Amino acid sequence: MPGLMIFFQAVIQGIMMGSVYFLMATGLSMIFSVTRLLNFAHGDFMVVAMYSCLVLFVGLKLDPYVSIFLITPLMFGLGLLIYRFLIRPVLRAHILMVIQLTLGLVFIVESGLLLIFTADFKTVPTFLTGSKIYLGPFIVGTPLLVSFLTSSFIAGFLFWVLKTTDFGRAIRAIAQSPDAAALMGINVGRIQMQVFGLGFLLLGIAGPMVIPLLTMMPFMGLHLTLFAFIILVLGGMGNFLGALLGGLILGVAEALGYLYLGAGFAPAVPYSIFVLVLLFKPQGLLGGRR
Amino acid sequence: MKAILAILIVILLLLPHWLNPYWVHILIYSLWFVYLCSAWNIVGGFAGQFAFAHSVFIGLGAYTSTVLYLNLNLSPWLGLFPGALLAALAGLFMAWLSFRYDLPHLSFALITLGFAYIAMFLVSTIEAVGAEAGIHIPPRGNSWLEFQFAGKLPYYYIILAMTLGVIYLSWLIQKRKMGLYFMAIRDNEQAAAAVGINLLGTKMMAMAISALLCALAGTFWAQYTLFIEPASTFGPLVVIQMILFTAIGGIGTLWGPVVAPLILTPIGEILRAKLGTQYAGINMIVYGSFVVIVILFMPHGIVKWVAGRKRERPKERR
Repeated sequence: MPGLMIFFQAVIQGIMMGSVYFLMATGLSMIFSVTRLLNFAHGDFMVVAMYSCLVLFVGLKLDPYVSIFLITPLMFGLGLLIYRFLIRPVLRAHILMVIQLTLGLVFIVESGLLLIFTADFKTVPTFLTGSKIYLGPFIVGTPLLVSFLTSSFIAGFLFWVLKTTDFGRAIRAIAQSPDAAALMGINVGRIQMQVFGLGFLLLGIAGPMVIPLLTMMPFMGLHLTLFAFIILVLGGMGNFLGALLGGLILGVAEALGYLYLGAGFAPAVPYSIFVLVLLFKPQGLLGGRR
Repeated sequence: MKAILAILIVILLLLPHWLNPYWVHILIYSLWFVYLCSAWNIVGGFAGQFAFAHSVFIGLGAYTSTVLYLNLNLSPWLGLFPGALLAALAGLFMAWLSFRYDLPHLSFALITLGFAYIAMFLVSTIEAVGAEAGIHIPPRGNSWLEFQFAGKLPYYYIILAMTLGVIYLSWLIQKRKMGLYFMAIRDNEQAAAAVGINLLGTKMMAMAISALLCALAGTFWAQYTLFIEPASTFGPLVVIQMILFTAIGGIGTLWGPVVAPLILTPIGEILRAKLGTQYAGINMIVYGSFVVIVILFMPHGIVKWVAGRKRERPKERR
């Protein structure tokens, strides 16, 4: 049954890719739950992390998998700076104004990348690019497997942090009610800033890891942001497990779309699924409290 | 106020006669954005619903009239109507889909952006309308019937008339009961529903008007450039640009969507012409920086900032 084999092959690929989408979306989700901020430039900063790998490779001959350790602290710092000087001053304004500010960032980042790196497609070789692993009857690219395992590990770690540490409890408290959290002695402003930095840190991990999987171009960021948003809405806003489910669904839908519908319409499949879900189950799949 | 407006209109009528075609093009492009921003402002500003689907409406207008023109020889002046109708129906459907259950702002923004992407990918796969490559409209001479002109002046006067029309319409909406309904919904949905405003119907109405107007701009653009493609019509870039311009000028004001494109489009075009070959994308960086700065220092847009200074009110505390 070669047809069925190909189907399962695509599903496995999709699940693994979906785990990377989850990594991107969960930062956005945590930021949303503590600040009610929707950062339309989130995906663009993942692209910034990817291009940083390119710079480190061209300048220092660093493999992207090594660059992760340089880029994550840098992304964390960048996140703190952006939060402190751009986001925090307008956080209390209307939500649409903050969205517009991040849309402005989209323009700056995408065009900045275009200016520096031109519109050409770029790739960076890694020591894993092209290698494959056989999982029973299925073939999986090693980079994809590595990103899947890393994402799974990080998902588990974040879940543990959220459930058991003081930092995690503070995040959940602020998500429920910032005012009550402040009254309980939680430094809301500081946690918000740290979570924003953490979201960027996760991008610093996700960016280099997708280098063998995606071709870089300056304008891919908004598309990635939308994927992250769709994952959040699919799973119910601010719902950690929902985001995991949403990420996997999106990854599988995309993989099956490429398999059965061809490369032309396949990119639209995740969006179509999103519209369908909102059509029939507008609270999101796990039906969070919006 | 009326005198100033009259003088401005006379200047706008005479202006292109003193300018070379390049500058007339920049004027046309700027007015096109004034038109689009004002149209978006009806649903995004007055009614406060953050729609990202307007590229779909522009695309529907452009593609419908063009397909009818090339295949059935229907004059674009008549092709305007089915395009506008289709766009209005699409707008009604999207609004109905999103507002049946009170989806939060975010879901509406995303679902409309999702529709824009779906439409773009879908049209890119349809060979009959040129797929990704788009459609070149063959030039058929200088004629009002064909909506094609040798010079830029007729296009300028058409877009000027359209723009003045849409500003007048916005002014009417703002003054009439409909506009008050829109703004009541924007400011407080529960209160609006409590005084008996039909939330779903009013939001659908705002979306339909806005969509219909954008479709007309799509047909105009197709006839002006004689070229349409999925990425530049259905793609999200144009609608994001519309929203940013409106935000810079002042969302929900009558003159905000007029002022900002008139300042920013020429700046962007000049930068692109002077530096674009060397530094591609520099105009977008300028737009982006503008919006960040405006939101940081004038969070309600240029128009309200100017109005606030004129009255010399003490700065509002937030």
